[in-house]
Parts: sequence; structure tokens; C-alpha cells
Amino acid sequence: MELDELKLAWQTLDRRLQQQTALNLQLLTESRIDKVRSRLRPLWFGQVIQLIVGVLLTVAFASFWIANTGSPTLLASGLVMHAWSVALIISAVMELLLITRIDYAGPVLTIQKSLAQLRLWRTRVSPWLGLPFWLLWMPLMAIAFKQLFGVQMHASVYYIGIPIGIVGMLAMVWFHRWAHRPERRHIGEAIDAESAGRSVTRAQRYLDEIARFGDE
Amino acid sequence: MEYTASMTAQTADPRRQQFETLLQAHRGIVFKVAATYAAHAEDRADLAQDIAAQLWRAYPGYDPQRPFPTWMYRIALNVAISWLRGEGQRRRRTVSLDDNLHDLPDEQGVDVEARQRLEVLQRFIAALDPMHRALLLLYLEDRSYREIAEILGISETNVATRISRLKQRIRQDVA
Repeated sequence: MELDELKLAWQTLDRRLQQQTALNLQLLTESRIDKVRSRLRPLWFGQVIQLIVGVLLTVAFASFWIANTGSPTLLASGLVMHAWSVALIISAVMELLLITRIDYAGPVLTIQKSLAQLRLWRTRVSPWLGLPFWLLWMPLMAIAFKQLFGVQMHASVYYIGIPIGIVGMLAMVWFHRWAHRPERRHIGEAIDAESAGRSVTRAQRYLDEIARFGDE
Repeated sequence: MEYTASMTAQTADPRRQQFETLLQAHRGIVFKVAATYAAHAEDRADLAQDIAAQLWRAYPGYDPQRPFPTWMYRIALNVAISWLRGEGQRRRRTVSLDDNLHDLPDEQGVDVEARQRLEVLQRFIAALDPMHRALLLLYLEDRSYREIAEILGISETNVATRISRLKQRIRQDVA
């Protein structure tokens, strides 16, 4: 059979579809439009929440270090957490911008590339927001102690926590690199899938196929 | 017609009216894209609704200087591919190809040969990845290489190469 012969079959299918009464376009109900508003809607909402949380934390941490400029430890704790909350905001804004760029009216390959960029951002940046918590739990605890009990955290926590945190962070970075070596790609992909979010991962899964399609 | 009847209550908006006229004129695109990507009748109807709603959502960004079918194909294919790869995987029904064929109403006077050709076509489509399905659909719709390239976002040379490979594959798989 030749491709041109399939055109005859396509015409038959076309006639049958036209007869099919079940396929009526009863569109434009608000519920339907809401339903399709975005395939990436859960991710969108997730980032909006992250943005709101980031702004609230930024305000809270800024208020904290401004009120504690007399104590170097508390000032440093507040500034570090302030910087982290700003990073949280930047990350959310970046993802929201990338999501906005995904326009269904664009060429299919372009949209897939936008999804790939979004995934890349999530897989590369998300771990960097979580990883510092090997150390950040200490300034966070210091702020909590001060706010909740009005006392400073004991200095011994830093003496123990900082070396453990540095070792933990280095171990995590080493593991990440180890898992992404070509011979252990499946482990790295599983980690990426976990951090990328399911909605983006689904799009990325087919990116290689799409990229191959775009190659001449 | 049910489509028109469903719209009458919402035709006060001139922009919506204009959109509905265009959609009505090109509704075959929606049905054919849905039929290419969804096997079950209910899924096809669901996908067609999704495409139509997404078209309406994107309509404010449509440039009237550009051909409506090209714009429509892009959105319909993007929605269908997303549906096939994402949300649709959870929703869509698992049916055999024979069930799929039975979903389509029988046409009076369709001969055995035509039915066999249709079965071959549907099996062939089902075996293709989403991008090649889009390519085959556009080719079968007699779209120019230029238009196919514009819709898919690849070069005309690539379109020609891909169609040539599709032809080879048909000769091998559907001998």
C-alpha cells in the first residue's frame, strides 16, 4: 500500500466523522474553558503560592534583621534567610515567566522547547533552593528561638551544625554528580523527575523524540 | 444543527459570533485531529471540546492576516499532543482498534475494500508517535509542505524528508 492510497481511507474517515452525531462542539461553557485554561495550571498555582510565601518571608526576615542589628549572630541569621527568601521569589518569577511563554498557538516544536527550558530551570534551580538547608536550618532556628522564646540559640549548635552541614552538602553534590554520570543515567533521571514536578516531566519525557523529529 | 443551537444563547458578543462562524466553517479540522489522537468515541468528543475551548481562549491573539486553518491546526495539534501525553493518559479509555472502528458510524454502501483501507489507516496512525501523526494528518489533508512546516515548526526540507520516510515505512509495514 502507498501513502497516497491511505488518502482514500482518510476520505472515508472524514465522511464517517461528519456523520457522527456524538461529536458536537457544544463549547464555550465556562466550565469547559476553565478546564483547559492551562495544562500547566497546577504548576502555575504552585509557583504563585511560592511567590506569595517568598514575599511574606522576605518581609518577615527583613523585619527581623532590622530589629536585631545589635546582635551580629541574629543580624547574620536574618540576612542569610532574607537572601534565601529573595532567591525563592526569583525562582518563582522565572518559572511563571517560562510558563507564560508556552503559547498553544505556537509551532509544536517551539512549545516543546519552552517546556524543556522550564524543566531545565526546575531541575537545576530547585535543588539549589533546598540544598542550603543543610546549613540554613541554623539561622532559621536562631530566628525561631529569638521570636518564640526571646533567647539566642546556644553557640554550640553552630560548632556542631556547620561541619555536619558542610559535609552533608558536599555529599549531596557528589551524589548528584555521581547519579548523573552516563552509566547511571536512570538514577539521575529518576532524581530529576522527582524535582521537576510531574506536569513538566511528562512534557520532557518526549523531548528527545521531538528533538529527533526537528533534526534533518 | 446541534452545534449552532448550543451557541444561540451566547451569540450576543460579536467577537464570539465571528469565532463561531470561523469554527463552524473549519470544524472538520477539530474532528479529524481528535480522531487522529483519541481512539474512543467519548475521548474523541472530550478532546474535540478541549480543542474548541482552547481555540476560543487563544482567539484574542489570532492575527486575521494569517490563514485561520494554519492557526487552528497549530492549536488543535498542540492540545491533542498534550492530551495524548499528559492528562489524557489518565482519562482516555483503553480500547482495541476493532472497538475504535465500531465507534464510527457505518456508512451506507462502504465496500469491504474501503473498510479494510480504513482499518489499515487507523492501525498505522496508532503505531506512530504524536509528531508523525501530526505530519501524516497534514499530508493526508493535502496541506502544502510550506504550511506543514509552518504548523510544526520545522523546515520544508525536513517535511519532505519525513514524508519520504513515512512512505517507505508504509511500504514496509503495510505491504
